[in-house]
Amino acid sequence: MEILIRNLSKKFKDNLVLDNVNLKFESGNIYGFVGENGSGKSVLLKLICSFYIPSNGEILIDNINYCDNSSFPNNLRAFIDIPSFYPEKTGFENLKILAKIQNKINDEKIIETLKIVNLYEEKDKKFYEYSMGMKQKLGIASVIMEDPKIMIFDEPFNGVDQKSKEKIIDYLKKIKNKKIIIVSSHIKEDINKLCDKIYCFEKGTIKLNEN
Amino acid sequence: MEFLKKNLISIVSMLIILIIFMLSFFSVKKEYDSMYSSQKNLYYSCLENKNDNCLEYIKEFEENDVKTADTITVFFTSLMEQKASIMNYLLVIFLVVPSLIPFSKICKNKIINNILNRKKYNEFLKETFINCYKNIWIIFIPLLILFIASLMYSGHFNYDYILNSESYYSFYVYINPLIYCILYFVSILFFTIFYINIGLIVARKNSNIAIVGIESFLLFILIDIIFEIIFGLLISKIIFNSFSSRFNLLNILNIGYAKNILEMILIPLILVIITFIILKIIYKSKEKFIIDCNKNN
Repeated sequence: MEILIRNLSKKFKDNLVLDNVNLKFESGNIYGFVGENGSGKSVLLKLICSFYIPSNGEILIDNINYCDNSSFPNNLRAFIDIPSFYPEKTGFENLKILAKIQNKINDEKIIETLKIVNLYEEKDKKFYEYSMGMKQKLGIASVIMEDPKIMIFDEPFNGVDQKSKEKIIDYLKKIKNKKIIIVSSHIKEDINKLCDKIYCFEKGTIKLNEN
Repeated sequence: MEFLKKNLISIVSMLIILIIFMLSFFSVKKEYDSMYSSQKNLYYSCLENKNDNCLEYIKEFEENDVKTADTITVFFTSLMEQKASIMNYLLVIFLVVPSLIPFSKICKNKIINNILNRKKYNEFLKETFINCYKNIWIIFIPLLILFIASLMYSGHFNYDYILNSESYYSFYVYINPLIYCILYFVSILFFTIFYINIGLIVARKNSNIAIVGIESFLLFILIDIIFEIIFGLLISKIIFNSFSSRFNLLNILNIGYAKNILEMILIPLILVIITFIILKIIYKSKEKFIIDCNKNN
């Protein structure tokens, strides 16, 4: 599995957010994105997810370009922005609704995932009753439950307790073989602990900072 | 139980419309009963008196095989009655709000990111639109029940009674009643899709279902004004001599907007096509849709 980003630029009206980015992501690695707010981290993640269309350049996932209006990389799951679920449904029900879209996993797998992120005890609580940390953990669970080849996390550990964070980090390190995992965070300690390679974002440009 | 829970608002909307229609029907039935009773009393009174006027009346009364209004007249009279006619204005809200609740929830809670990670954008739109259109039963069931009630009360489709009594009648007298009924429900189907499309147009920029309902109503009124003025007065007189000059969209349940079969079907069909074109344009860009959904919270 490989993600190839070639000559990628992204502009919103007159604002150039990403400028001529060239990157390559390979399986077996956990990549970290660090940078100030507004430096383009989330935009690049959304471009990889095919939520946005590049202004210039292309993104190839295993040589397939998903940068058009209709398609999406099927084996990619992402947790971007704030955790987004139905407030009146429980944590378990929310994950089940998402799992039902592609029907790849059963209830047991969802339960197993909730245990990994330390959310099993709260699985029957309504989402609106969750604390910030619980909401984040549910977002993380929504990514890992279907065991995708590409996992993307944007600021996943905000508000997550230390014990759960360490458990999730250990889990991601354990499964990273044959997967591409990209994590964006402003918490340097988490990035340093988790990632093999770290990219620094600054005013639309990206530099590698080897861990 | 699952169906009830999932479609509670739709069921409540349908029941409110049904109650309004049935209240109108019973008002109309009461008036017709009173009218038939007066006619019968006059006939019996004439049988006793037998003056010149009475003899003429007796002859007319005895020669007419049809002494009551036909099914379609009873049906439309019920829809024109004060209580039911308010639905011409409010139907857009009763259709849009229940149809668009699931879609609004997806945008409001930003669940769109999770969905488009797992499904193609075009597939998502197609499923969303079809699920919205499935709510046509909200108006169809009350209309069907009203029609059945009218049929049970009248018992026939012979419009001789209304022709003789000079009551209101529609252009259906010129074609087969069954064909007319089918075409009527086809026109209602087109209008239903048109109303839901208005809701989808408004919901593109707004995830609050209450605002979607209100804005859909206002947009519908605006479309009616534009349609009546531009198409009704200007274009129809210049180009389409055969078209009516009164395209009043606030009169759709009793086909008050059309003077012939062609207008009856063509007008709602044109509205559906126009709104589909608008939907195709405003929902074209996945990126803009995601950005707007993520803004609305």
